[in-house]
Amino acid sequence: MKKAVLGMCALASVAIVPSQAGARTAPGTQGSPFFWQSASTCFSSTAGIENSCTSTQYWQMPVLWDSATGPNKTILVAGTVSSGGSLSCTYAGFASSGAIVTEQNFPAFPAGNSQQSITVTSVPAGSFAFVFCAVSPNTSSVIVGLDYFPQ
Amino acid sequence: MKAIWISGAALGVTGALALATLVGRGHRAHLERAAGLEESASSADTMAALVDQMGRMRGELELLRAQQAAAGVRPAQPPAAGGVSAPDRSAARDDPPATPRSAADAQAETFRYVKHADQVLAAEPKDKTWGDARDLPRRVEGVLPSGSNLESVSCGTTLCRVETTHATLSAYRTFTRSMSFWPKPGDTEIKTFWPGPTAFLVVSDPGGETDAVRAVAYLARPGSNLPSAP
Repeated sequence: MKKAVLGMCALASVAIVPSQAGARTAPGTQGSPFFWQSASTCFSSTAGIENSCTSTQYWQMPVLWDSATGPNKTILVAGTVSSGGSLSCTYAGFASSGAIVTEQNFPAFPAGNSQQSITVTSVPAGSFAFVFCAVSPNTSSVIVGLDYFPQ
Repeated sequence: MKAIWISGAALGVTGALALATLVGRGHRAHLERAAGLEESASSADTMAALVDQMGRMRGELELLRAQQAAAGVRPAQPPAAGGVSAPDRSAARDDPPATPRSAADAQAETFRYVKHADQVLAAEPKDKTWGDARDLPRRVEGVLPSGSNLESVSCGTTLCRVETTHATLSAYRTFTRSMSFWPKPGDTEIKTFWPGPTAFLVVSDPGGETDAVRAVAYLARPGSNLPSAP
């Protein structure tokens, strides 16, 4: 009897867990080179995006918001930095006029695998957004992907 | 004569009752036909028809909810069967849509945010030790395109507000690019104009490229966030 009650409680608790509406994940491979000329020569993908050239290259990833300014939104970038490498990312939003509407840096990525996040408070309706990252050369860092969701 | 009148009246009442019965049956039969529930159908068919009808009604209800959500009205969430609350999937529907309902709505949203952010800033004490804030007017002047003007700069403890005017939308676009980092080939690191989060809002309503623009930018101190929406 006790097991049955516990089972029903567990079932009820599963049933009332709110779903994370509007949450999205995107692998780094869903992005593209910021400068198209580096498309075929610098970037390669294993379990993420690496820069095999000898100079820093920029990779951009679209952010598809389901809602405008209202609830704060969290964006999280997962990446790996090897010894001597670096990875730095920025979120930018721009209006249909082409004017920038928001910009925000992610915290610096330390060595090793980590996830860095920012909170975005301003997403004007009708604006577009993406995250771009400076990827260090010689495959010394990897962009794994993005997670983003309203809070 | 009286007997004839009574007989006639009785006949009339009987006829009226018969007619009412017929009409009632006809109406009920019409309803049943409309619901796809023919009396002659087997109970299995009736059940299938009921399930089908319920499905259609649920679909209509969902459509109505979606329309209400689009109109900014939050519909009541009925409890799920068994008395357990349904998972709250309404959050995204209640959020403002990513695409503007209209230009007027988008402008109203901008004004709401500006008013709120101004209140946040007004409640903050000044921090005279904040170097980035002290240098801000000079730095903004340095990136203003010709024909643009710095109207005001004010800073609190965690937030600065910069109001500018621009001769054209194109000039404003140039200004926002100057206030942000846009990679150029050969850039080896991300160097933003301002180290913290920034938001740029147009408070006038430029109709076209050649119209003047009045804009407000909010710049949050590194480690702080911009004000949340009211």
